[in-house]
Amino acid sequence: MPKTFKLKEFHLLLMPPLFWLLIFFIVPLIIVMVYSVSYKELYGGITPGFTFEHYKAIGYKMYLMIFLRSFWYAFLTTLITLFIAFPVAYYMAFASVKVKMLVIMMIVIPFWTNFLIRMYALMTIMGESGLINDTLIRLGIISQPLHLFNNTFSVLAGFIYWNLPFMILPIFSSLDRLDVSLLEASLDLGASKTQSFWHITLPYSIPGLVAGIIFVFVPTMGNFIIPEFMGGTDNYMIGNLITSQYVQARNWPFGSALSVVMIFMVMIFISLYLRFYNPSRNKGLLNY
Amino acid sequence: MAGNISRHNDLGIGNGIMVKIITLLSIVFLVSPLIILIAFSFNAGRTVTHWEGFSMHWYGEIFKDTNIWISIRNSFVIALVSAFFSTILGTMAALAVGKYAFKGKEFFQNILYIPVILPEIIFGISLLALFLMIKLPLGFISIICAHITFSLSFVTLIVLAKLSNFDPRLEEASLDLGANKWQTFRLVTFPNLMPAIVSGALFAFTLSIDDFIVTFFTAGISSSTLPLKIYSLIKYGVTPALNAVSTILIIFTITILAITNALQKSSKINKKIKIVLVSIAGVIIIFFIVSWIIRPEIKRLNIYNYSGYLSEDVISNFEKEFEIEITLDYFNDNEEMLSRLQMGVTGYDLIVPTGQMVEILRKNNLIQPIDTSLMTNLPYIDPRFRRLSYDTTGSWYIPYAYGFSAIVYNQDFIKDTIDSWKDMWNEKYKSNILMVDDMYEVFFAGYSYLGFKMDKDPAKLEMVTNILVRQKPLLLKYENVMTLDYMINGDVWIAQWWNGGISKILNSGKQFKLVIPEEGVLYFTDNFCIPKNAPNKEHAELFINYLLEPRNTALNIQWILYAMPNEAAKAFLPDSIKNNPAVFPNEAALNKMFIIEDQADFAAKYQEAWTKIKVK
Repeated sequence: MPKTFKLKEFHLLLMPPLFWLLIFFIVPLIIVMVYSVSYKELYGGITPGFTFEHYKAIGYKMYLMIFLRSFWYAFLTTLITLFIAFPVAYYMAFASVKVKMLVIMMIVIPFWTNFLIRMYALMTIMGESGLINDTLIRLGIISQPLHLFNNTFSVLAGFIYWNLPFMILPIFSSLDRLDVSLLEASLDLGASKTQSFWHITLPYSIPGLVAGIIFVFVPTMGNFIIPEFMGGTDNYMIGNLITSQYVQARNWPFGSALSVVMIFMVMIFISLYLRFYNPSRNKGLLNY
Repeated sequence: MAGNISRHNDLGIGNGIMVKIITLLSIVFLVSPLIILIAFSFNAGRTVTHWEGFSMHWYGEIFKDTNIWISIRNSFVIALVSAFFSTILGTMAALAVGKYAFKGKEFFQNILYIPVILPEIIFGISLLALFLMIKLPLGFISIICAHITFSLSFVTLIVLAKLSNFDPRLEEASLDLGANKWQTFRLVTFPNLMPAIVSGALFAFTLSIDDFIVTFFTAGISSSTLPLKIYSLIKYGVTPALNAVSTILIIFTITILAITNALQKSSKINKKIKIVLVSIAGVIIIFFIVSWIIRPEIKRLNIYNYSGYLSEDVISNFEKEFEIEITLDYFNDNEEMLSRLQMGVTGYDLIVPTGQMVEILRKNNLIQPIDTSLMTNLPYIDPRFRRLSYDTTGSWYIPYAYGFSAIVYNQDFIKDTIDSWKDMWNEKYKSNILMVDDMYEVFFAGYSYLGFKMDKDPAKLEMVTNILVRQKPLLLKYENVMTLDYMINGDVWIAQWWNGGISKILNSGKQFKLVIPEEGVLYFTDNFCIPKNAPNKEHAELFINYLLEPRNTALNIQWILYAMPNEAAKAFLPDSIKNNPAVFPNEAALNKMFIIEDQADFAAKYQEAWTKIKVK
């Protein structure tokens, strides 16, 4: 179709969403950047100016440690969910129709259940006087509650519990598109099952793997609810630090500087995502 | 659902025993907490772990709780409005990207796709910064704008996926056969995209109704949504009512999912069923919109307070007598309250700041003078409390209650004598210690440990910071609210807490003991203040006066177990409370109490040090 005669309505279509995103997405990010180089007022608020002091402050060892810790938790969570999710997705992709539907349902329901509710559900089980400790004490197996909670273990358990469906579903959706006749051909031509896996199944799962990694790693980095409710004194993450600077310490410039650094930290993932997630090429992800 | 699910595989792939075991365990891991959560919503008892028989009691309880219904209604209205706009905007964006080539398309696509992956907290913070800058009061408008922004991209992605399957020759044919562009769009393009647009709308609706983090940063008091309510229930008091609320939300989400799924397979669905579904949805939407529009003009009073710090009996008596509905919102500490007010969260009529915070609020122009002309019960207040150092005019605050923070411990676990803040550093109690989540209280303990007074000496502050960092590995956590549960369940042995809470612990067993450490304790007075722009100032004043009536004061004291400066009320108190040193501190204790002065510019140093401690 000739391009010129459609120019008018295309502007009408483009302008409203473009302006909306400029005002409510781009401008806010710019404000955060401006805040991050402004001065802080005594009781909160912003004094205009230009300073790098907040960025310098992030360079202190203890704040770097927070970034490292958040990165480390996100990395561990991604790795562990990956190792759990792959076999599950693999099983689902090759299971019979009935089993497959059942398993999909079992994973889609938690996938769609409110995050806070899921965290709370896990808390009532793992908590200091949660179901596990309660049952073990009643059965006389232990006399003192096990410290399962308010530590790194429970924080990681929370992250894994939260993220597992976000890893399983994309991998499954990639594997599910794999044509079984490819594997048949490979086996017929004398490749072993292991070889077929490495040369066919695994390459096919890569878009799903990348999606899963992105959709687990980034939200984990930014989460502050799980460390708050399930963590102890040593599990403070960037999300907590940013939130506390806004909600408690009233140090908006520092909170903004932390946010800017965090955006740069997830930049790698954002660019990966933009490379892999041209939606006209990838459709499966949002269909659950 | 993606892909083709009907193929058969007889290669034995994915049949390994390990794969099966991992799948099974994963499903158990994912689903069993939800099943247990739902099961305990039917528990007769108060706990969410001991089964005490079947009951629908908690559903009745939340049915009566108007605040939960208001939050459900708020969630619905917000989700409907934001889904409506994000669907329109998202579809427009999808049509622009999917059907036209233009300059800057890649840039536009990038700003369309990034919101899908950007951490929610960045979204929340940056939108908050925007609203602060343009001085838009936080409330429905701000939440709806935020929700439209993050759901827009998802709608675009869904519609775009459908659009790329759409054969452009259909449009060409329509144009060739003489239809104009608008007719072509209306009769060819739009019907083909309809299923995707509907599932995009439902997706946006679900995202909005489930969102917590972005809403957390952009909500005001009267706009509390269901997830915010759930957050507050988790934080300030877990009961099976929370399980019941959760169960309702889970069932609701699953229903929407089922509808979305059914609509996506629309070709297979009977037209009648479709009509039924659409009309059910229509009725629900109309119901919520109507209930929104004709919501009765209830007289309201919004109180922003610590949790468990106002008698439920007094509240319900007041509500009955004056037909004013009270909404409670909670803060964790004074700093949180101050920053919420500074961010421009409006809607509060009555707030409860501690001591010098009154002065800070006044200096920052966040409160207004209280009109005492109609307060007939004012003379009951102990005059020594009327004009304290933080407001010598006495016109900006009315004293509420006073108390102190101290140590409580469980003698079943701890046989040593506890008499000093130093005992909170005892290695033997590792992981069984709680400190409160309040910087001045924690610093006071630290200064006491080193034998210092709290002054403005940076060198001392650093030493105290170090000693508190050293304490951290010994603590289970910093906790303000759940200390009662932790102590009673035997999860911790020793805790720093405020005396009213400690009294509740003491009431639950002989093994608990209150200690006023020899170094002294921090003393506080809490006050009522009325924020600038309070929508119901008269109701707040009415409530203060009501509470000052000695009988009501006595009722309130018996509930909160903190002392109030009202001698006449003592006549209505039982001896067990009147003479309880954990409620009314005796002379010996009063001599060991210290007050926090206004730290002015040094407060920022405390705040920095507190952040350091949390971070280390």
